Amino acid sequence: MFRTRFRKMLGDVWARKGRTALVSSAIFIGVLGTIALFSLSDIIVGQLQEDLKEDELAMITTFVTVGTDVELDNEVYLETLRGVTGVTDVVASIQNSVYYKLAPDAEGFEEGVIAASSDPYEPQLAIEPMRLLSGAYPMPGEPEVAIERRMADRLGLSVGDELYFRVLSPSRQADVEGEIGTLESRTITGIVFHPYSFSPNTTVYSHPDDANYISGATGFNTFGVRFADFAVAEAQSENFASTLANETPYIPVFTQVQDPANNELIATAQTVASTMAFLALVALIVSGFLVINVISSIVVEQKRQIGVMKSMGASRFDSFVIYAGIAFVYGLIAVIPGVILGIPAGNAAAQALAPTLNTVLDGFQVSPPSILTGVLVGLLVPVLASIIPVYFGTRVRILDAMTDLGIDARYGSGWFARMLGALPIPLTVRQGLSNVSLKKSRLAFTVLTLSIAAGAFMGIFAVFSSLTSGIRLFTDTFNIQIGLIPNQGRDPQLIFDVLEETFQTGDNPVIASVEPGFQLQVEFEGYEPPLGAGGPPGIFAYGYDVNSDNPAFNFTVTEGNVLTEENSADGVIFSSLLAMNMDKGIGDTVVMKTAGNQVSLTIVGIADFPLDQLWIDWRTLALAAGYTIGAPQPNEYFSTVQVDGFDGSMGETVGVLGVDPDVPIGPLRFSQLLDVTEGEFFSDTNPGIMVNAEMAARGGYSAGDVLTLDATVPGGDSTDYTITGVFTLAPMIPTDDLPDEFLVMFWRDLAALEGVTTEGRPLPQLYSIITTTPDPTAAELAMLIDDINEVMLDNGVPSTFVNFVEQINLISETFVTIQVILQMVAGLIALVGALGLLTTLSMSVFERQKEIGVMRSIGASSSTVATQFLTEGLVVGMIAWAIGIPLAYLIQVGLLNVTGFDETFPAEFSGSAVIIGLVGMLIITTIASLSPSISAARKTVSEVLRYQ
Amino acid sequence: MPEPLIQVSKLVKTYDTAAGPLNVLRGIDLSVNRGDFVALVGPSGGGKTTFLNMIAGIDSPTTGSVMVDGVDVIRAPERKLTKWRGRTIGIVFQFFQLLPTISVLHNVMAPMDFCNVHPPAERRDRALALLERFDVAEQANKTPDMLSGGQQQRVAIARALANDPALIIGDEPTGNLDRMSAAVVFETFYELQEQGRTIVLVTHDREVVQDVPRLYALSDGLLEATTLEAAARRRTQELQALRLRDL
Repeated sequence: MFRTRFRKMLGDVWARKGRTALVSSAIFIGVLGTIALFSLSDIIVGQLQEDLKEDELAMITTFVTVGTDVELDNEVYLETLRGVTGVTDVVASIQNSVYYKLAPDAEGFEEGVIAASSDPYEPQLAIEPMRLLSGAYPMPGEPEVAIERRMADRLGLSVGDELYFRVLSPSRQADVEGEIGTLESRTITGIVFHPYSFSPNTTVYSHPDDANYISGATGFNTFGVRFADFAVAEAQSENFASTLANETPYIPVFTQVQDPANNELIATAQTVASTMAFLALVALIVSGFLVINVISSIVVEQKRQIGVMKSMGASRFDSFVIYAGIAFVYGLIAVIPGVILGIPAGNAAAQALAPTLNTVLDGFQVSPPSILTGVLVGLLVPVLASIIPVYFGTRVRILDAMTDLGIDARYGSGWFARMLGALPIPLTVRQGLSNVSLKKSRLAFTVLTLSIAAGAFMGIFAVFSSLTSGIRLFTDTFNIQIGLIPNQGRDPQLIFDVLEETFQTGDNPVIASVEPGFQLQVEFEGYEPPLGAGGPPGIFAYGYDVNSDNPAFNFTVTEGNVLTEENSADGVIFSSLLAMNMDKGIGDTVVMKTAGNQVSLTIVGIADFPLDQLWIDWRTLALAAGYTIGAPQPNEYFSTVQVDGFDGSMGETVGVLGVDPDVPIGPLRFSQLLDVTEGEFFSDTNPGIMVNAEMAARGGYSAGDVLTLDATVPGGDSTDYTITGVFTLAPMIPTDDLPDEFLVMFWRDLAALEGVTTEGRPLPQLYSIITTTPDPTAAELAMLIDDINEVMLDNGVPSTFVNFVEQINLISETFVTIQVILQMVAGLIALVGALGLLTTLSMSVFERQKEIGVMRSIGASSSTVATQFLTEGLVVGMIAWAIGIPLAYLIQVGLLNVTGFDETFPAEFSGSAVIIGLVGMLIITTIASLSPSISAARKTVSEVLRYQ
Repeated sequence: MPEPLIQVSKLVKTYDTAAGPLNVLRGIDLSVNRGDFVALVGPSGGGKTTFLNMIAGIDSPTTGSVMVDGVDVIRAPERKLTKWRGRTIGIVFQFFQLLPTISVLHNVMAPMDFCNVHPPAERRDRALALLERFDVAEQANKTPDMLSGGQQQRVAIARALANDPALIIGDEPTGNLDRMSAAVVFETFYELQEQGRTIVLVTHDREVVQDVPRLYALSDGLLEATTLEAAARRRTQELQALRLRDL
C-alpha cells in the first residue's frame, strides 16, 4: 500500500485541483505537440524516403521548348544525349495541359495533365518511374490511358472507365478530319502510383504520340538525366545543356541540378517537420518553467509542513520524493491525454501535410518512437524542473519552518531601495517595485519565459513583415495579371489579332494590353549564384517589350539608363544584387550564357532589387535562346518590297522571292526554273536582283538599272540594287498566287533588307495580359482565362495560363499560414509564461497575506491592495519585453537562416514589431496579474490576522 | 541512579540584533528524569520556546550542552538527529500542524512511515488504536479541516505517540483550545506520565498546570523552580516595576 510519501503527494495533487489542472495543461500541450509533430516528421519523412528512391531520381532535369514547324527525330536526339560523358540514362517526357470530361455530355471540361515518356512503361521507367497498382499500362497506338491513383480516388474512377478528351490537334478521325477541338474517348487501362508527379490529382499517362495529339503540342518538354554519380552530373551539366541546345532543336528554358542523396522534397519535409517539432519541445521545456514556479510556490506554502514532517523524522529524501513526486504526477496527468490525443493528432497532421509534400499515406499512421519521446519528456521535464526548487525548499530548518516571524520585516537597504524611496510614486507602486526586486530569483524563470515569448513573437513578426514586403516587392515588379503561354511557338501576330478582335475592341473591352515576353534561366561567365530560397533558383532573365507604353515589368532604374530601342539590342538592366555579386557596373560588358549559346551584353542600367535577376528586351533574349519563327528558307521566302518610283498593280509594292540559285528544288535548281530574257542571273561576282517581264515593262526597266527597294516589314531597311536581268517563269510554275509584278533576289540579301536574321524572327514565349478591370480578383481572372482559352483553342493555339493574382494570393496565404502557426507557438509560450506569472504572484499574495491584513486594518482599500500586485506583474512584463527585444533580433536571424532567406532579406530592427510586442506583453501580464490581485484585494482583516 | 533523560548544562542563547546582543537564555541548567512532568511558565518572549527547541534539537545554543537520552543533540549530525528525533521525541505544536491533505489516520501513521518503526502491516491498526485512545477514532478517514480544534489537538497527540517516544514535548499545546478541551488534553498528558513517559510542556494556562509536579519559571533568561503562587507574585512585581519606570 502507499506510504506517507505517496499519500501526501497524491493528497496535495488532489487538494489543489485547479493548480494541478493548470500545470498539467501546460505540460499536456507540450506533450501533445511533441508527439504530434515528431510523429508528423517521422511519418512523412519515412514515407517520402520510401517513395523517392535515390537511384531513381534525376540528377539533371531540363525543361525545354521547341519552335514551330520543326521536324523532330527524337530517337536520334536521345542517342546523342546518351553519348554525353558520364550519362547513364536519359528519359524525355511530356507533361502538357489537357481538357477532359467524365461523360461526353458533361458540361465544361476539367483541366488536367497528360504525361508520356520516351521510354516504355514496362518493366519500369529508368528515371522517376511509377508503380502499376491495378490493370495495365496503355498500349502505343491504342486509345488507352492510365491514371494516377490520387486522380482515381478524387474522381471515383477505376479501370475500364472512359475519359473524354478535347483534342487540340487536327483530328485524325475520318468524319471530322482536320477539325481542332473534337472530343475523343480514351479507356482507363491502369491505375498507377507516381510519387515523382507534381500534379498527381490530375495526371493521365499515355504515349508520346497520343499525348501530343491530344494536347496539340510537339516534342518533349522535359529531359531527365542520370549520371554515374552526382559529381559527374555537376561537372557535365553545362556540357549536357550545350549538347541539348546545339545538337537538337530543343531550347533549354530552365535546368535543375539536384543531388538525389539530398532530395529537395525530403529536405523540405525534414526542415518543416523538424522546425515544428523543435517548437513543440520548446513549448514543453517552457512548461517546465511553470513547473519550477509551481513547485517553488508549493514548497513555500508548505514550509511548515516540511518542518513538521522533519520533526516527525522525515528525511530530506522523503521531502524530495514528495515534492518531486508531485511534479511527476503533474507530468503523468498530462502524458496520458497527451498520448491519447497525440497519436491521432500526429496522424491527422501527417495526412494533412502529405498532399503538400506530394505523397500519400495509406491508413492510420503511428510513430512509436515519437510516442515514446513524448512520454519520456512529458515525465522527465517536470521532474527535472522540480529538482532545484525542491532541493532548496527542503533544505529549510525545522526552526525556520516553524517559526512565525510575523510580517517579513526585511526590506531592501541597497541602492535600488533607496532610489525607490526617493521617487515620488504612490506607496502601492513602490511596494510593487520593491517586491519585484526582493523576489528576483523566484521571478527569474517567469521573466525568462515571458522574454522568450516576447522575443519569439516580435522576431517572427519582424521576419514575416520582411518576407511579406519582399514578396510584395518581387510580385509588384510584374505588371501582369494573366500569363498566356502557347504550348508551342505560334506566330505572335495570330495571337495579337485573336485577342484584339475578341477582347480588346467593341464597347466593353476586357483586355487593356497584351505584351510579348520571354523568361529564361541564364548564367554568366565567372559567377555562380547561390541557390537561395528567395526567388527562382539561379539567375532569371525577364524579357519584355522595351518600346511598350505598358511594359510587363515595373522597376526603377536607380543607376544608368532604361532600355530603349537604341540600346536594347545588346543592353541589359541588372538588379542591384546581381551587379553587386558580380562586381559589375554601368557600361561593363558581360557574357550571358543560355544553353548552348552566349551573347555579350552591356549593362545600361541597374535597378534596386534584392534578387539575382536582370531585365532585357524580349527579342534579344529570344534570339539568344534561338527561339525564333519564320526563319527564311531559300526558294520559299516570299515577301513584298516597295520600289521607289514604281507604279504597278499594287502601287509601289511588288512581290519578292528570296532564292538561292544553287539550292535544288526537287531535281532542279531554281535558276533552271526561270527564262532569262535579258541580262543574266545574279551571282557573287554580279550581285543584284532580277525583275519579271511584267515589272520591267511596267516600269520601263532593263538590265543595269538601279532600283531603290524599301522593306515593307517593321525594322526593315532601304537599299539600292542593280537589275542584273529580266526573266519569265518556266511554264511549269503556277502563277495564280503570284503578284503580277515581282522580282527575285538572293535570299540573304532579302533577309538583310527586311532586318530578319537568317535564323528567323524572335518568338515570344509568353504574353502578359492586363485587363481593363482595376484590381481584379483571382476569380474574375479565372473566368476571363476560361474565355481566352476557348478562343485560343478555337484558333488552334492550345495554351497554358497563369493567374497571377491567384499565384500571389497563394504565396501570401502560405506565408500567412506559416506565420500564424509560428505566432501560435509564440502565443503558447506566452501563455505558459503568463501562467508562471500568475502562480508567482499568487505565491506572493500567500506569503504577504499578513502584510495585506495589516494594510486592510489601517484602512487600505481593495484597489490599493490590488494595485500593488498589478504593479508587480506589469514590471515583470516590461522587463521581459525589454529582454525580448535583442532576443527578437536573434530569432529573426535564426529564422531567416533556417529558411534560406537570409541572403535576400537580411535581419533588421523592426519598430512596429517592438511596439506590438509591448502592447501584447502589457495585455498578457495584466490578465495574468488580475486574478492574484483580485484575490489579494478580497482578503479581509479577520481572515488574515485571526490567529496571528 | 539512572541517568536523567534530559540533561541541560549552562545553556546560553544570544541573538545579535540591530539594538545589540539579546540574551534569551543566560546559562540554564536542568535535569529531567524519565517519567517526569515538567512545565515551563513565564512571560512572552522569555525564551520558553527557544529552550524547548534546544531540547528537541531544532535550535542550537550559543554555548552549553543538551543531552537527551544519551545523545548530544547539539553536536549530532542532522541526518542522524532527524531519525533519532522521530523515534525518541513526540512534538505537540500549538497550532496542531496536521498535514492537511491526508486523512487523520494517515497523519498518525506518518511518523511510523518516516522512521520505519513498527512493521508496515501493523501501522494502520496501531494508528487506529491511538485514535481510539483519544476518542477520535470515528474521525479517522476525515481530513483535519473537518475536525474541531480539540479533536485536532488530540490527533496531534496521537501522532506524537505514534513511534512510542520516550519524551513528549508540547509548546502551548492548549493555546488554541477552549477550557474543556484544554482540560481533556492535559488529562491526557497526566495519563501519559503515569504510563512512564516524560513530558515537557510550555504553557500559559494556569488552571491546567496547577497539578504539574515540576513547575519552572523562565524569566530574564533564567530558569527557576517555582509554584504557581510564587510565579504569579513575581509577575505582579515585574509589572509594577515597569509601571514605575514609565512614570
